[in-house]
Amino acid sequence: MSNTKNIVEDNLQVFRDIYHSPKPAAGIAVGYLSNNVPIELILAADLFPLRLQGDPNEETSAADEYMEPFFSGSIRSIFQRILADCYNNLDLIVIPRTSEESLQLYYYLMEVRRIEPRLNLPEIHLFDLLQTPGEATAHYNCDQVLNLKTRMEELAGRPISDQKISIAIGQTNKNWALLEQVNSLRRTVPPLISGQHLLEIIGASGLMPLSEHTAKLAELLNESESLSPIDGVRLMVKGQAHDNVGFYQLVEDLGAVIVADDHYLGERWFENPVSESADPLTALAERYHASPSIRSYPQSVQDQYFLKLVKTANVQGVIFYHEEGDDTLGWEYPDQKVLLEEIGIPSIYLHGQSYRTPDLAQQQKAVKSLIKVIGERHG
Amino acid sequence: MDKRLECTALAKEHQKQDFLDFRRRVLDDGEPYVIASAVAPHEIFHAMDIPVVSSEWYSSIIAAKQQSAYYLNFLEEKGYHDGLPRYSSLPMASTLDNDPDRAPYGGLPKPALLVSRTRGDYNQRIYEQWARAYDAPFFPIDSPSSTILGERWWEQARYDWEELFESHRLDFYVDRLEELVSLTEQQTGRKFDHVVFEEQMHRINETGEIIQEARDIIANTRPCPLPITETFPNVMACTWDRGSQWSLDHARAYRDEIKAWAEEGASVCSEEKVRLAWMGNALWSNTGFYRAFEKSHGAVFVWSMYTNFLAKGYVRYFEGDPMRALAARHISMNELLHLPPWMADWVLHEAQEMGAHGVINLVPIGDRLSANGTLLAKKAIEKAGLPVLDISANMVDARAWDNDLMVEKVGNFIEDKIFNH
Repeated sequence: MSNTKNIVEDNLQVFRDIYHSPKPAAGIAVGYLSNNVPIELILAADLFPLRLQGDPNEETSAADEYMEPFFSGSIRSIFQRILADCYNNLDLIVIPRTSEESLQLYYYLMEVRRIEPRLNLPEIHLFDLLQTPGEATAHYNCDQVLNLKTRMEELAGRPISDQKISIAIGQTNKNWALLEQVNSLRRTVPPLISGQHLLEIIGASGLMPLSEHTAKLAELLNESESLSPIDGVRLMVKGQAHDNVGFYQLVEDLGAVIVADDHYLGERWFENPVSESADPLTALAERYHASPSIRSYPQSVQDQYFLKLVKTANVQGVIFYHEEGDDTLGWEYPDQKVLLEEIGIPSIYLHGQSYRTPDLAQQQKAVKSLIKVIGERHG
Repeated sequence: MDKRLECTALAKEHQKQDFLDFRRRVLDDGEPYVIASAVAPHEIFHAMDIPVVSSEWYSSIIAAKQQSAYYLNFLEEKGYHDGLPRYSSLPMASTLDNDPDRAPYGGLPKPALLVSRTRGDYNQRIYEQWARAYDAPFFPIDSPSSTILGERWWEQARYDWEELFESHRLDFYVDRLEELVSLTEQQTGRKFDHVVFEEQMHRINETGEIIQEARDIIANTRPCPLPITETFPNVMACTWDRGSQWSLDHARAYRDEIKAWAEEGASVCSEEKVRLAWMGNALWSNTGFYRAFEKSHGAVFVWSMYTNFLAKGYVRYFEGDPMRALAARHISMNELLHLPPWMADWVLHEAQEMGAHGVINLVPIGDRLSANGTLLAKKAIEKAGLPVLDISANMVDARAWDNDLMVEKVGNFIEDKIFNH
């Protein structure tokens, strides 16, 4: 193996290690959920932002005491981890109101704190981000960003200047720009990086110091010419965010490459940089107002984004992946399937998927059938 | 007891006439109308004399006419998986199906506007698609979330709603309501009448107080003078038509008739042994279930949220700013009923005041917004000494309901958790 090849492998291994076994944060750490919290404000306060992530391999008995079975596996797992003291190093958890489940998590944590005062739960802050279009919503979101800034100032014990926020915006923008460049490596024909690798790389960004993550991305990109092309049909995964690489691995082991994804732990994590020319708080409010979530509205705009992504990534087939208990994504599926049919792209629909114990044989069978259809169409 | 309140027939007749009036005005004369979710601010349309159809009301009509199974199968055939929420999607299904011979009352014609709170994550998706099917505009009312959930909301909500529902939220919501007024004026050519609106808001408060008086009579009378199924049509008719003189007059008639029944010694079950409270949405697909335990166990349902949510969830006293009071009525309407601790605290308070011995908790299938917080609520109510039985069902989908099994479950609960304690 050449030297550059080694550097690339080493960098990928760093991301993988962090993704699978994040280290505890030093200093004051602020936990957050999803892609809808302006981590720039946490960074500007010189605090450590840590993305909370569920783990399908962990049991959830503490959460099951309070949380109904229809909650998604990811929220249940995060709830379990909070109750089980896994996040006792956090000084605050910021919960965005960008899904009904995350809002409920906020209320459940408040209620558990009320009825079980003996539990030592971290403080929580509701970042009440609204996502309907319009001026009223934009103003409301500006106030919410300001509230979050105040909360960070209280935690840090000092004011946060606009300059500090601008610097943080520059840092995250740079990180996202490099992630975009890495993403472009799986857009090539054939792709140079797998979907599984990219999922680990993106996931690691919320689990390690951002500056380190950015530096590792730059190293990886510098040596990217040593990456080997990957053979396989070009697939997209859409729907539920994936808390681990299990499904990606299953798909790619069957001879496909996931060259695009449409969920917030995939490439939608780093879309739309924050404006660096506008007032920093307003720019943050605008960017996060438009950040994708299950509450993004209208759906028709999201559907057009999806269609464009299918075309630009030269996707040959789409896997719709919805978890059991889904009450929202299923409303989108019939329209999206029609959009794909109109451009001749085949798809499969995996709905009702278990978070902890998915039926792997069923998944393999469905993915194989999709690969076969694509193979027949492309000779 | 199979006797019905006279006002029950009047309520049903009023609703029927309302719908006939709707058909005459909308179908025959081509007047604009609005489709709105139950928790949308219908008051705005009432003040503009615009007919409004609640999607939940139409859902319950579909269920009552035994059409829900057809429409649910229809949705599944269109590719919507069977775990999706059903309560709010049946009317959209009837529009997509586009079969006037099957749809109740010939189906809903194209509205001038569709309006809904962005409740949960899915509601706006249903409405967006529904609006597209009609080629009509949809106005989503986004709703900021409570950061704190105060205790004993039913006391605070009447006068101290500014504090309970948080000023920054109300500011936003008022803005949205004013935008809705403008859009409705544009779409329909009607003018919003502020004087009429304020009068209606006062009448709603008065109606709520009367409904509370009716509830107090039931709470204080042993045995229970009327079946819970008599409360549903009467209170709901007053709720749908809230703000009208008819609604106020009907609430008075309802209260007076209950009072007369109580004074005459009427009873649902003369050998009443057990009083039960019902938590959650009503079982519209099988309201006979509420009467199934009278002969076998002397058990009577005495309360559900329909008994007096019009009193506690709607009464908002105000001085000079009825639009803000309207915002305070609607901004947390679902949350009052489905969030811990608000739900549990109120159900417990009502169950205790009604003298209930146990609570039957309907955990809806396929409608998580109505099922959120049920485990926490159950814990809180049981901790206070009242047994709770969870039963799972869909409010409108009769396909999943095993009546014999459910009757057995509730019967066993009465015997094990109430008689034996």
